[in-house]
Amino acid sequence: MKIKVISRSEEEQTKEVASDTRKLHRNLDPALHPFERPREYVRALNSVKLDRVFAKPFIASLSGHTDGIFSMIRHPTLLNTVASGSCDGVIKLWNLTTLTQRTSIQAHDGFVRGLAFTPDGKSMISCGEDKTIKMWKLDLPEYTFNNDIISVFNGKNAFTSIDHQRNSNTFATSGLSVEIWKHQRSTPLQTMSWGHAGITKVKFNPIETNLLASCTTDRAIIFYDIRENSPAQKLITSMRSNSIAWNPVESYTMAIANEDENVYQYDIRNLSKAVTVHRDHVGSVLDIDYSPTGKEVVTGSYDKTIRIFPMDSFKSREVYFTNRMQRIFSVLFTGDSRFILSGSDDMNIRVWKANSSAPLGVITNRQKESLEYQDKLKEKFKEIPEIKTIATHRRVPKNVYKRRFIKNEIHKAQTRKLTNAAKNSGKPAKIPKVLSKHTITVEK
Amino acid sequence: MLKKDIKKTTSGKKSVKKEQENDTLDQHWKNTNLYSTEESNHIDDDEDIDIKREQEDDEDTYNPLESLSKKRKITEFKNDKQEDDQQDQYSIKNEQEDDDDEDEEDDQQDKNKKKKSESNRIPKGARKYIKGEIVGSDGIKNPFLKNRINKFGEMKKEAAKAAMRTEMLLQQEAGFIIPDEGQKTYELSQNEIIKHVDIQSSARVFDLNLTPNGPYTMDFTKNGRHLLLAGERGHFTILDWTRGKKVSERHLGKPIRDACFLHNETMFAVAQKKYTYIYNSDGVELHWLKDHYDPKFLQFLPYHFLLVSATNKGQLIYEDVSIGQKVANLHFNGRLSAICKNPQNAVINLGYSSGTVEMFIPKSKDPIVKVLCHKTAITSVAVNLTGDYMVTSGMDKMVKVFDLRNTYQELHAFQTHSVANSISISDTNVLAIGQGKNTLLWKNPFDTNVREPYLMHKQSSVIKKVKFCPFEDILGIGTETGYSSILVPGSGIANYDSMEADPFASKKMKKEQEVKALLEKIPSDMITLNPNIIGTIQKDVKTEEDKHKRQDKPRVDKNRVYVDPKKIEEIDKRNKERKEKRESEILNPTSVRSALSRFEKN
Repeated sequence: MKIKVISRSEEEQTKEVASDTRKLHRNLDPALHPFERPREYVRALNSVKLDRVFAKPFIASLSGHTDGIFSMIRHPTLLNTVASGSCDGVIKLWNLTTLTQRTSIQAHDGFVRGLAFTPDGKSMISCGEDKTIKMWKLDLPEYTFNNDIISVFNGKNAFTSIDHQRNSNTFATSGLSVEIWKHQRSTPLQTMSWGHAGITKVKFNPIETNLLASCTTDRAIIFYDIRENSPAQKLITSMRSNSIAWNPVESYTMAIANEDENVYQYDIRNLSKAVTVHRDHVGSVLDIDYSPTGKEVVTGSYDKTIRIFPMDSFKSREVYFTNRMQRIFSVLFTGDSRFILSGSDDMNIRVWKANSSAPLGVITNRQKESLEYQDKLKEKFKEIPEIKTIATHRRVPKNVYKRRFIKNEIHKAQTRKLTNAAKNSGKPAKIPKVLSKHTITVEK
Repeated sequence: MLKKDIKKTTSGKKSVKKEQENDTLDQHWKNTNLYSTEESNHIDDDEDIDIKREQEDDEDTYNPLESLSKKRKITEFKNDKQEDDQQDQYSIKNEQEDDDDEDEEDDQQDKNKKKKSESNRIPKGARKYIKGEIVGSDGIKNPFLKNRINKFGEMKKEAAKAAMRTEMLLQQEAGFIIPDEGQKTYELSQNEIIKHVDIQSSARVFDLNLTPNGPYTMDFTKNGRHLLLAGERGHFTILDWTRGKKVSERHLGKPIRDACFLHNETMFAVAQKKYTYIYNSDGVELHWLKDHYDPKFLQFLPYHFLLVSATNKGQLIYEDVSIGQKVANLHFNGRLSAICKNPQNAVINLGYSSGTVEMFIPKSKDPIVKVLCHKTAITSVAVNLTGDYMVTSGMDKMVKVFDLRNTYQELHAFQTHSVANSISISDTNVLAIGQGKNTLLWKNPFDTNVREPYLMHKQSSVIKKVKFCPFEDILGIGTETGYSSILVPGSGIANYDSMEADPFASKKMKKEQEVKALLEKIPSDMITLNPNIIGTIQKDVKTEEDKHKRQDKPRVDKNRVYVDPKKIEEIDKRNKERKEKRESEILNPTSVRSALSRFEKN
């Protein structure tokens, strides 16, 4: 006969020697873990509440400029280096680690309209309303500049923006027309235009490096291939676009910040219809930037708020504002996509967290795992009303709230009008879709 | 049967004697250790199927449908194949996959389909680890959504497989008895069992004589480490019983009707003659629950932090002990005679002297389920760990097993010699029946084929309550004179989970666990029959309106006379026809009648 009963010794089950780490016994049998889903739900609810508790997105304000900040650019290789240019012609370099100013220089007479780092990160190009482009040398190791102008390019008109091609010494500027420059040449290599309107923004595609997009003042977005001498495509939208951004991961996706208070994403392979519309702003959207991961866009608006939109959602994930922040003319994601910078009319650059409740600083592996687990749970139960309300609710300034209400009323009235008309005419109501409504024509 | 055959086919070359020994051993494995059988059987799934095929070949007239139905019937009641049961459940849910898994070799399917199914297959042992349902992507047009749903399904399967793989890390083995040839396990007395086990275990068989303080009720903590003894005359004590240490002891001088631990050993509730009280481990009174007037039974729901008092006045009071608030006060009709909780869904089962068992949740003022179990009064109720079976005992000397999964039907019943005072089911489904001075232990109570008890134990005094100690092979028996603990090999789960309940938890772990448990307290209104319904997809919703409609069938009021609208229509139609006929007869008479015809005599 053989009999066995459970018999455990404490030493064996915990630690045999005092210096041992304690053993953790796991048995994943579901019978031992009752109420799995309810417990997960409670955990999700707790973490979503804690998220709101810990949501402190504002980190610091970088002051020093004496006028509104109209352009910002991040350094191609250094995460913590950012340059900003203001209306009074001053360019400043910032150190984001210490949140201090690196250098400041009076670069232009009048507005600094555009900034660009060269791909090697050793020099910077700026353009202004004084019809000049200046190339600055950055001094290693601190990446400061000592007034070392490498070269000055003189243009015929005031410039409105500048962008540098990746991995080459070519850059593009906009003004009355789009001009392509080389570092070594004092005159533009190419001059391209389509129509007579001024061009406000020019951006190189970071993947298809020869592709160039520009916004004009007459509501158009024009695409150029710089290998050819003429523009390729033109998209005319219902209202004017203020800024443009290319998705750094998907070469064919771009987003435009529009005057009609929305942000549209287009697939350039088919411009007849926008892919997504992001519509939460209540003032015209002035600047836009993709996160380096290509998953989110940040927008700055005339309604004095910053919003972050996930790629595939109509609604914004986050809205940032402060009492003192004025109209936002430039926004920027940092290279690690953890922070957002906003330059506004009130002469300050503000640093925000991209994920408002994310902990700053180094976190332990256990902490990281726990956060990941919580994220997964939130994802799992995100549609449950209790969790959804807590996760999505944001307080907004009174004027934004009111304006949003009015916007909503206008929208409802319009649809009501259409349906009423349809009722009386006997034809089915044809409510135009937002995505296709936006595009007016595409020319080739 | 199936397993025996497997063994025979695999060990065909071995000597007969050895084979027999193997058989018995295998039987015991299967009986005692649910978990390790899983390993031995299911990891190499393919081999299993091969063997099945052999078996099938042996049978001359083989009909796959018949064998399937037969298999269902057998497995339905088998305790040792509980996993199979669960798989059956899953099989109903996702028929697709099950079709793939079960005997698909025989079905003549397209080769492509077969290939696909093989890649999707989940090993048998992993099925119990599948969380929720795997939703099919049929009918979804959006390619992104479809892709995502498919991906989720795949991930679920992967997770289940990974969970199954961790089974090989389980270190402890469950207890068992392998009798000699011709020997019956129920002939073994505790003295004999003690001789065959180690000293530590043999020291756990003891009797406590606490004579003057009357019949004792007891409770174990969740991890099985501490024991609470409460005598009817007002004496209670807490023991760290595995170490033989007394934590505290007190005599209240007032009668105690029931007692139970709260979430850990530091606090416990006592149902006294007038009110329910909460004491700490030092025996100091912490709370006096005035609302719980005249309590009879107590239960504690650890994941909801709810203390449930069932009173003689017909009240079922749910008290949230973490915030000290009364969550629900329900009323029941009838004389209460037994109580138990369902560990899987926190439903409270009340047994009455009328023979019915009612199930209560705090959200509903009426019982959600009523089962007429016995024709006489119920003496005790118990629900097993997985929440699938309920066992009841009545004054009619019957012990009955009910299926709680969906039918609430009686599965089978067996008779006892005398009225069972108390019953208890262990975590591995060993049923203990305390009747008079005897304790009967049944190994596979849900299996209709089992005819003999597993063990028997005789006491010198009448039993008041039996209860298995979690994670140990121990049965605690509260008697008229005191308490005794006996060894029941194979009654405890060998491998505990430190994150849930650790018998060797350090002070710090206990503290942290308490805080975590409080943070994860499930709201009381989430107690339902199916606890895992939250966050699942509501199916069969066609329109937006349907979403808000009640899913269950409309209740029929029995007092109201229900008339079929079709019948009414028919009657109306008939009446209308008659009327028309009459009118047409008057307007256009077919036969001429004299005005005086009605006065004429026929």
